[in-house]
Amino acid sequence: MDQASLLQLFDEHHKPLFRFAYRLTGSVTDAEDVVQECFLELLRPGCSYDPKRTPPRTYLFGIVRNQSLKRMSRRPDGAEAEVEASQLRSPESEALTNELGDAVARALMRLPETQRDVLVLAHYEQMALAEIAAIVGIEVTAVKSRLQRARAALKEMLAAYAPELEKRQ
Amino acid sequence: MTDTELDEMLDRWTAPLAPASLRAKVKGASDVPPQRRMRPGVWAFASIAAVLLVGVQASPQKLTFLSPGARIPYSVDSEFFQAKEDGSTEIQMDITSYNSEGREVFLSKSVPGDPWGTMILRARDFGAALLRPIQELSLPLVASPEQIQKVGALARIADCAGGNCTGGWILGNRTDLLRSGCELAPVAGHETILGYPTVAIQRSIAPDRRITVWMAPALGCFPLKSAVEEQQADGAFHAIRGRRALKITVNP
Repeated sequence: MDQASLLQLFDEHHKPLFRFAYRLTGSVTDAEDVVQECFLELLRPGCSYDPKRTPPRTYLFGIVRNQSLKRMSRRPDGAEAEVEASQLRSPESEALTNELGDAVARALMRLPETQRDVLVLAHYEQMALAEIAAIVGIEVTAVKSRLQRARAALKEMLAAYAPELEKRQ
Repeated sequence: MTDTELDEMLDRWTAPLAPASLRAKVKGASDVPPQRRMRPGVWAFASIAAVLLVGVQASPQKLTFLSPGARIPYSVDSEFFQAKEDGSTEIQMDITSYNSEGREVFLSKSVPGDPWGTMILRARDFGAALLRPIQELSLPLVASPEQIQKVGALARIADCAGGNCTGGWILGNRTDLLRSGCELAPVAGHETILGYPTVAIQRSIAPDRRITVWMAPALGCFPLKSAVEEQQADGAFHAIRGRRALKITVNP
C-alpha cells in the first residue's frame, strides 16, 4: 500500500477508530498510539490485509481491538484502568454532567474485555451484530449473548445513578 | 432501569476528538520504509536472541537450573486450557511443576504442537531467570519492606492459559493456606484427583466470573485443578479457562 492510499484510509476511518481505542483503553495517549500502530500495520511487509476479502473498516477495527487489548493486558495484574478525567478543564456546569459520564466510563472499564468491546461497537459505533462478529472473530449469537450480559451488568452497576439522570432531564 | 435509560446514561460518556497531530504522526512514520525503521534494533535483537538461544539450549528445559541442588519431592504434569465458543477446549500450555512452601515452582513448560512457541516461551523464562537477581536487588528501592513482605505472603495460583504464565489469582495468605490444610473459607467441596484428596475453594474475581481451585493438602496445597467460569445469560456458570493435572510423580 502506498502512502497516499494509507492517508486516504486514515482520513476516512481515524475518528471512529480513535473513539473505539479510547473507550477500550480509557486513555487518550494509548488510543493515539493504538491508532497510529493500526495504520502503520498496513505498511508492514507481509501484512494480511486484502480489501477484496475484508472491508477496510472491519479490518481496521479488528487491529485496533487487538492492539488495545494487548495494551490492557500489559497493565499490572489487577490494576484497574484509569479513565482520564475529562472534566478537569471544564466549567462547573459541564463538570456536573461529566460526573455521570465518568461513572459510565468507570462502569465500562469494570466489564470483562470480552463484553466491553462488543458493547462499545454496538452502542457507540452503532455497528450491526454481523460486523461486530467479524471484528471480534466470534459467532453472531455469541455477540448477542455478550451484549446482553454487558447491558445487564451495566444496569446493575449504574442503578445508583438512575435517579440522578431523571433529575437532570 | 429500562433499556432506554441505560442508553441515555451510556450517551453521557463522550470520547474526546482525535488529536489533530495524529495525521502528521502517521504521515511522518509512513515516510520511512518499515524495513529501514527496524534496522537500528535488529542488531540488538539478534544479540539478545543469540544469548537466549544459547541459554535455552544449554539448560535442558529445567527452569530450576539456577538453583541446583534443590530437592524436588514430587512433580505434577498439568495442562492449561481455554474453552472455545463451540464448547470444546484448546490446550495452550503443558507444564511440569511442584509446590515449595506454597509457591509453585515450574520445572518445564511447552506449547503443545508448537515447537517455535515452546522455544520462545523457554527463551523468555531463561531471560526472566537471568534478570531475577537484579529485580530482587532493586525491589527495596521501589517498595517498602512491609509491602515486599505483604506481597510475598500471598498465596497465588498461576494462570498459564493464553500462552503466557501470569502472576495469576490471589487466594489468600500463604501461611494460613498451608496451616489450614488448604481449607481457606469458603470451601466449595472435596474431590479425589489422581489418588490425592483435594479441597476446592471458590473466589469471585469479577461481577460475572469466579475461580474454583482444587488443592491437595498432601502436596503442599498444589492446585491439581482450577476453573475460571463465566456466568451466562441463564445464570449458569461455564468454564472459560483452567488447568488440570495429568500425572503426579513422587521423588522424580
